[in-house]
Amino acid sequence: MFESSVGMSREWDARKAGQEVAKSTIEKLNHSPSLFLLFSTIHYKKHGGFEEFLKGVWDVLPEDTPLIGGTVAGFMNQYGCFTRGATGLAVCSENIDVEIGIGHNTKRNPKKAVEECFSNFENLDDDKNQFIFEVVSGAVIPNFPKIGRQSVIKSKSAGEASIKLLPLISRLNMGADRADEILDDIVNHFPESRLIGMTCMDDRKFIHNYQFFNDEVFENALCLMKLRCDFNYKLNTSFGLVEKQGNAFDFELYPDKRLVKKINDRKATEELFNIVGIDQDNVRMLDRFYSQSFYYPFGCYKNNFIHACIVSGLLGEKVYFANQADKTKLNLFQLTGKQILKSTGELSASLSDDFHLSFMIMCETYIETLGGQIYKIYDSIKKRINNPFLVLFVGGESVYYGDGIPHYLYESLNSLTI
Amino acid sequence: MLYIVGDGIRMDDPIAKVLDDLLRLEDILACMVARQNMISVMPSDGTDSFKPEIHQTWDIIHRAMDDVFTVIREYSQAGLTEMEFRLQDYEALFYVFPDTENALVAIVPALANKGLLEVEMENARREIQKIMNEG
Repeated sequence: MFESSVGMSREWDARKAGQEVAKSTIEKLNHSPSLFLLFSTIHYKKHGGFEEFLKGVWDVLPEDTPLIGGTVAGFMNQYGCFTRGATGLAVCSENIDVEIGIGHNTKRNPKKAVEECFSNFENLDDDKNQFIFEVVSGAVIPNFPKIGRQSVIKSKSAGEASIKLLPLISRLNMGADRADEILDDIVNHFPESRLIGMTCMDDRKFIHNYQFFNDEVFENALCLMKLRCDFNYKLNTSFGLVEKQGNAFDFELYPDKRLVKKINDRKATEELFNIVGIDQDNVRMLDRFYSQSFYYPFGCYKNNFIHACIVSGLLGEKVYFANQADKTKLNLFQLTGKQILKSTGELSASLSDDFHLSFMIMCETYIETLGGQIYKIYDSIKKRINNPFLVLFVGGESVYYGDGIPHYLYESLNSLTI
Repeated sequence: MLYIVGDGIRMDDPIAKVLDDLLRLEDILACMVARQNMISVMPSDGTDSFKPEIHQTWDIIHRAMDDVFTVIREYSQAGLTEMEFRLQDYEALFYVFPDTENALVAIVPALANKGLLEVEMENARREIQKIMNEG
C-alpha cells in the first residue's frame, strides 16, 4: 500500500493556515500519514508567527506523525503556482520506516550540526534502500557590526574590515548557509543512501528563514528525514544554466574556498565586472548587477553536473561566493528563461501517472526569472499527470545518487518520482 | 480626464476582495483594475488601503498610467498581455485581461523582487478573469 497527498492553504492567519494545510493534505488519505513534509512562504512570520502556524498543523495532524519542513520562496502543486501560502505532502505506506533528526547552529559549526542530527537516529545503517530528505537553514545577509546588513561593500577599507569579521559572522549564525559542507558530511556517513534536499529561504530578502521539526520552529537548523522503504523511485537533475563561450578563468581563493582574492591575477571585484561586462561608473548597470548576480554564476562540471558558484557578496576588492569553489579554474555560466523552460519541459515529458508521486526541488531563481510565466511549467506538468505533485522553490538544492559524489547545486531542478 | 472611482462597486464586490488580498502583500503598494481614464475596481477601502508611502506620488503615477493605457488599448487585441514602467522609486505593473482594454495594475517598489510578486499578480489576474467570466 502506498498513498500520497498534497494539500495547501492560502489563509493569511497563521493558525488557520496551519489547520487548513494539514486538513487538506491528509483528508484525501485512507490511512494515517507515515510522514508529513510542511512548507510555507515567509508571510506567516507577520501574520501570527510560525509557532501558531505549527500549532494549527498539530490541531489536525495525528499525534506522532514525523514532520519536517521549512520556509520556501514559493511552491507549485496541482492547484497552481504560489509565492504566498503553505503546502504539505503526506505519504502513508506500511512498508516504510521513518526517522527524523535535528541539528543546530548550522552556520557556526556544520559538522557538529550533522553529528547532533545523527544522534537522534536509532539506526545508523546505510544501504541503497535508504532515502534521505534534507532541510537546511539558508543563507542570511550578514549584519556587520558598524557597517550594517550588507552584501555589497564598495569601500576597500570597509571591505577589508568586513572580511576580518567573517569568522564572527559565522559564529553568529549569519552569512553563507554552509549547506555544501553539511551535504558532504551526510554523504560521508551514508555513502550508499540517496538524498534530495533544500535550503530554506524567505521572499528573497535573505534576512530570516525557518525550519520545522515536529511541533517546533527553528532558525539555523538541519532537519533530516531518513526513510527505509522498498518502493521504486527515480531521481533526476537538470539545469537552467548555459555555459558562456570562452576560456575558464583563474581564481585565487582563500582557504575557506568562498572568498576570492584574485581572478586572472587581477583584483577580484574589478575583474568580475570586466568579465561580465559591467561598467563600474554606470550606477544603473551596477544596481542591476547587484540584484541579478545570480544569473551569471561561475562554475565547473563534476560528473556532468554544473556546480555553480554564486557571487553572494562584494567585499571591497574581494568577491565572496555563497558556496565553496572546489576548483580554481571556473567558467562563466548564464541562467536563461529559455534553458529553464527547455530543461523543465524535458523533465515534464518524463512524468506520467505511472508514478504515485512527483516531488521536485527547483532553484528559486527559476520563479524569480519567469514570474507569472511559471505557469508554463505548471501547464506542461499538468498536461502529463493528474496525480499529486509538489515543486518547491528554494535557496539551494542538494542531491546525491549514491555514487560517491554529493552535489550541492544552484539554478537546478531535482526531481524524485515514486 | 474623468475618473470614476468605485462606480457601481459594492463593498462585497468579489473583485475588490481579490485586490484586498493582493494588497496585503508587503511590496504591493497599490492595486486596482483599470482602463483608460477609469479605475473600474479599487480595493474595498479605496485609496485609503494603499500603503502610505505611495500617497505622495500617487497623482503622478496615476497620470502616467493613463498614457500606458493608450498603448494597451491599441495593442491588446494584438496579444499585448503585460506592460510596466518605472517612475521615481516605483514600478507600475500592468496585467492585461485578454482581448479587453482592462488591466490589473499594481504599484511596487522599484527594487522589489518582481518575479515573486508577478506570480501572485498572475494568480489575481486569473481569479478576476474567472469572476468576470462568471458574471
